[in-house]
Amino acid sequence: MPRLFAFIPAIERPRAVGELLSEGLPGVAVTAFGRFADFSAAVASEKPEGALSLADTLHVLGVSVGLQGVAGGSATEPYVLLSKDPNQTVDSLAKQSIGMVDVVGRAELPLLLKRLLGLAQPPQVRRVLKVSDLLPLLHLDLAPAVTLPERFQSEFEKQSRLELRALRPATAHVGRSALGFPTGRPDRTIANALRRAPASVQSLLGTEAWQ
Amino acid sequence: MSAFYGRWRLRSQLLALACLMLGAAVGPLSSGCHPSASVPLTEPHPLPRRSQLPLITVLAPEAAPVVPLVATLRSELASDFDLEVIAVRHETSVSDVGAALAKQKPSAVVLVDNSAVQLYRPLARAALHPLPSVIVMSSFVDRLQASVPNSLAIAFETPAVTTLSDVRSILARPITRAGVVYREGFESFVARERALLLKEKIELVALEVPADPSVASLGRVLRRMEREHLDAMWLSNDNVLLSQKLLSNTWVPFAKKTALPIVVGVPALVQGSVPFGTYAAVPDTVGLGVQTADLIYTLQKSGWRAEGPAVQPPVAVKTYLNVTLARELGAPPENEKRVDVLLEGGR
Repeated sequence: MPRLFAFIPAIERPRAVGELLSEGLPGVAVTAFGRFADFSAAVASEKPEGALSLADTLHVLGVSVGLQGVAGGSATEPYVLLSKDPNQTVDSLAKQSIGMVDVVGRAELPLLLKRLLGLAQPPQVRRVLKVSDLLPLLHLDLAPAVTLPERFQSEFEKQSRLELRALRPATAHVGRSALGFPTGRPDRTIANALRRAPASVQSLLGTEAWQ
Repeated sequence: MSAFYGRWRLRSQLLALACLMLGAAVGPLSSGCHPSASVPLTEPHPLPRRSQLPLITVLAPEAAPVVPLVATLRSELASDFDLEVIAVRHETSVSDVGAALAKQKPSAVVLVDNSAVQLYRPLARAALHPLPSVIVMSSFVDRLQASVPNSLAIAFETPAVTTLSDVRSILARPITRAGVVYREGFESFVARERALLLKEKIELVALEVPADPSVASLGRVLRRMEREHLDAMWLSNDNVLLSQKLLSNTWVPFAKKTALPIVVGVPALVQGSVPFGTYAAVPDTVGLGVQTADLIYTLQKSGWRAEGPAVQPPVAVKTYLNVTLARELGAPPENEKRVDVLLEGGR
């Protein structure tokens, strides 16, 4: 059975991500990771047949995208910047600390956020491991704003009574989930399983189809 | 003073935590709990020291809960720092630690557990230029950090605002009033939690018991709590309030009577022969490792001087849900996907 290592930032916990993927991708041995560094080390040392993550994550690992997830005809998805202070702008927030899930490692994350927010300089980043860790950053005044995929915004806001202002810079798009083959050889079983994945898996990955 | 030392009766916060966590298999706070035997923190095949890189020394007891923290620190710092561990054992003395640090010459020290702080503090106080240090997995960090020059710290108690906003969302219940019982001497702790909870529009109803509460005094306060029209009860990690005697004679009878979700800070109270809590949130040791690594980089950037907020709250938590109790309270099963560990068993 081909091995698929997955690192998917989600509202769900890594345990549930692993269960959803295992149920939705029959014939594939799924291992879900909750931290970029663990995923990165495992992909490098164990060379699984498939690696499933954001396209930017695969790029940092030096794994080419073999199959790209798309939704609404787009291979990228919009992100949103949620700020506690309604008077702050993207530029003023960038001079402070912005919370984001670490999907590319400590060194690369400020560069990703710079691109995402269309900034001239990399901002200060307050990195977290999970989407659910973003809310404590706001509660505990560790960051005045956080950024996350727009599809999580409604669920995120439901979890809090904080009044958050959403900012949507035109540049705020990040590549959707993608599949790479760390061995260098495409694995047809994994690719076909993803193409036929049920709605629960596509929803988890923020995709509708694969190309 | 009595409140300071009486809160955790075990010498080590970590041993207490290990004890509480191990108790999960056999019931809440079983008496005679013995924390796990020592667990080595060194790598099985350590890489040679890279002399061009600064060294970070971790001073920590060899306890199971420390392993993920040290492993995470090692991997997060690997590209820019070497890491050495000095194991804190029962027989380790201040001079042993001093000699080891003099030999290693680290750029900074990570102090894990109150026991490590107790050993390192005299050295830092005696030094003209004390090494920067980061205190983690310790209780009473505010007071502890203030006693160690050139230090930063991460608290080891999940803030109520993190816990209660999460449990409100998972149980899909409106929580606008939550109760907490605290011991005399912990007023400032309760005030801080109350202020944070207001951000989430949750009112904290805090009732005080004496510093050394009896079954009768705690029972009286819990009966008052029953009349407070609460939506949830939040229990802080106070070993005196959670003693075996008070658990059996007050908390468990209260839990059996009440229809409220009970939110605790140790998983052992969510599972066992008599599950008591509905939900537990504890600082995630992997997340603590990442947060500690980020503080090391911050220290390096500031010329190895401890600057900025001296004590940070923990950001990442590991959550535990008793699904039997949660479903009795009407929690939608789909929300269980947002919990790390699912446990079963009714009260």
